[in-house]
Amino acid sequence: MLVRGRARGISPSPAPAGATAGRESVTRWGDRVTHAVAAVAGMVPLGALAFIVIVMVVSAIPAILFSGTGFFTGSVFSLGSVYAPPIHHHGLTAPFGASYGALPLILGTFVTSLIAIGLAVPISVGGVLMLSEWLPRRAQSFLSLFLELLAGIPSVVFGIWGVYTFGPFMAAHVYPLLTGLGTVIPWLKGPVGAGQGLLTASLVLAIMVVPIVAATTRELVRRVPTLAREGALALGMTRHETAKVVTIPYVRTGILAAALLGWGRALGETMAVLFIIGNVLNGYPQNLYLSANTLSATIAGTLDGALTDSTGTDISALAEIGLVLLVISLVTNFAGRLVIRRVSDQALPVGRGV
Amino acid sequence: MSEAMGLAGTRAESAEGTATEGVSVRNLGVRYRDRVLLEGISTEFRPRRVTAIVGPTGCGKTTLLRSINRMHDQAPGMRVTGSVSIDGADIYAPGVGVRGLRRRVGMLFQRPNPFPQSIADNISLAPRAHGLVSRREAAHLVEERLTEVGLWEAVRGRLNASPFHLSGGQQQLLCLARALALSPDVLLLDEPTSSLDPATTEHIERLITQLSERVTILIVTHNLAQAARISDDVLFLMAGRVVEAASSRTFFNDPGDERSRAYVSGRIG
Repeated sequence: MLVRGRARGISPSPAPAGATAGRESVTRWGDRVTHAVAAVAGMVPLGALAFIVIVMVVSAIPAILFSGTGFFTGSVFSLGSVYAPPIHHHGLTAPFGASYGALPLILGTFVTSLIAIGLAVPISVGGVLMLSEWLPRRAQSFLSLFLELLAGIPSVVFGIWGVYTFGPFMAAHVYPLLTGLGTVIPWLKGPVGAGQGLLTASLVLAIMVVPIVAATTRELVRRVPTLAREGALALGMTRHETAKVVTIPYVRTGILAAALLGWGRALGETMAVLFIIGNVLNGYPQNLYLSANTLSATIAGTLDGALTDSTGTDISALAEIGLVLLVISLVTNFAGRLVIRRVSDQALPVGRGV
Repeated sequence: MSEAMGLAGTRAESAEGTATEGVSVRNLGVRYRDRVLLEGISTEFRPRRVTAIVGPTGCGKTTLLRSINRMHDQAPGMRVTGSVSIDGADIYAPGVGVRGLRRRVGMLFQRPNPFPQSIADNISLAPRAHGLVSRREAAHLVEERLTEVGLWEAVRGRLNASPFHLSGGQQQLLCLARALALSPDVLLLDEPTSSLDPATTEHIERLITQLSERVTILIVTHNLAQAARISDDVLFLMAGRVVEAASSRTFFNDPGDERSRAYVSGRIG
């Protein structure tokens, strides 16, 4: 505001008109450059997002026309065969036998990410509350370091660990016990398979999401005003009662936001899931132990094959999957941000004056 | 009820005949790491009287107040030496639990800090946690305490609503009612009206005077006029030490220490 006013007030040209004016014009010129750089930098994220959305929509159009609503209802996702003459459908060409039914992938994405977040949230929140109430500061920062290390492990490492170590172990020792719950939750009935499937993927996702949710929760708990907690402590309430009466209500909405952010991560996670989930592209698994697939893992797993399709419709189908994933991610992210905004609006109303 | 609920040591000491009523502080020292916050504090707070703790900013008023319900226990790096006795029983003696102590010693803070719970729960949660009332009796207690602080008419229709929609003054009254719900013997007030409007301040001052008929009250205040209005006794601190402990009348009219004289007349502050 000030910069613009000054620029207009003097002269549109930066040419120096004396010693003082000369120095001022340098400042103005610097301001302009800064302005321009800032404007461009500010536009980059917006432009990149718009560009991605446009490219995805345009690339997906052939597949959208080819399958119509079949994309959301069909249960077989097949790229077809490039060794047979292509087929024509709705005025489009696709490889022989191609079928772009993505419902199992959409469901697989939601089931894995929801199980993951459903496990990760109580573990993170319970853990953080217990640690912040019971452990001294120094031990807390030591454990925080571990959380950050956990967050920094590349997902491909989680994938390898999941497929070679964790999955087989669970299938051999834990899943057989879980089948006992099959009478309550039918999806937990056997057979348990070899450890590559929905449940193993969900559990590994949960481990990957815990650092995100836990770190956010830790910040929220730290931001609970001391004054609010002391109100409970001064009434002789225990730490446990204080957590229940003061701390948890203060962080509740924030934890919802953290859960949504963590869920976004679980929705989009690709490599670990691709390794672990078993990559089945036709139909649904009969229980949670068996192989399935997700949207992101399908893109990564079938891209190679899709690139051999000269009609381009296979790639377009993957673009449509990407578009669906993008929409889901944007929606969860926006929802998370809305919740966070609401929380910061309420801004911890302790001690608000008259 | 409050007599029956005394500290574990109270009755034993009364039997020995050494019990003195009120709050007695003996050679109290408080350090935060290497810094001395309070040193050599020895004083008596008379039972069922209002004692104003005054002094310049940073002189240790709040630190002293928080020694009396052991709020320093939670803070790492805080070290308390010496002793504080309530009705003759040392509250820092081994085996004395802060839970029972804080049941008897209520506290009101500089700014209102109601629980993020309903208005009714703000009153009833602590008594229920201490097992003083049943769920059924709680409703009666809520009305009784809110009536006592003059908030009942204003909130009776929205007992299940959040307290954060109340004005700051109403929130502070709610916190007072919350403290009173445990029937404390001692009330620690840490500048309870510093964030409030004059009308609510006057209302709270009147309540303090009424409450002093049954509760020992210690109030930290920056407002000398307030101290003069409501206190029976004054404790004047400077730099973590007691300068003067006297009745209000003496302190404000004929202080015994030159520094008190300077403080009362506004030359230091």
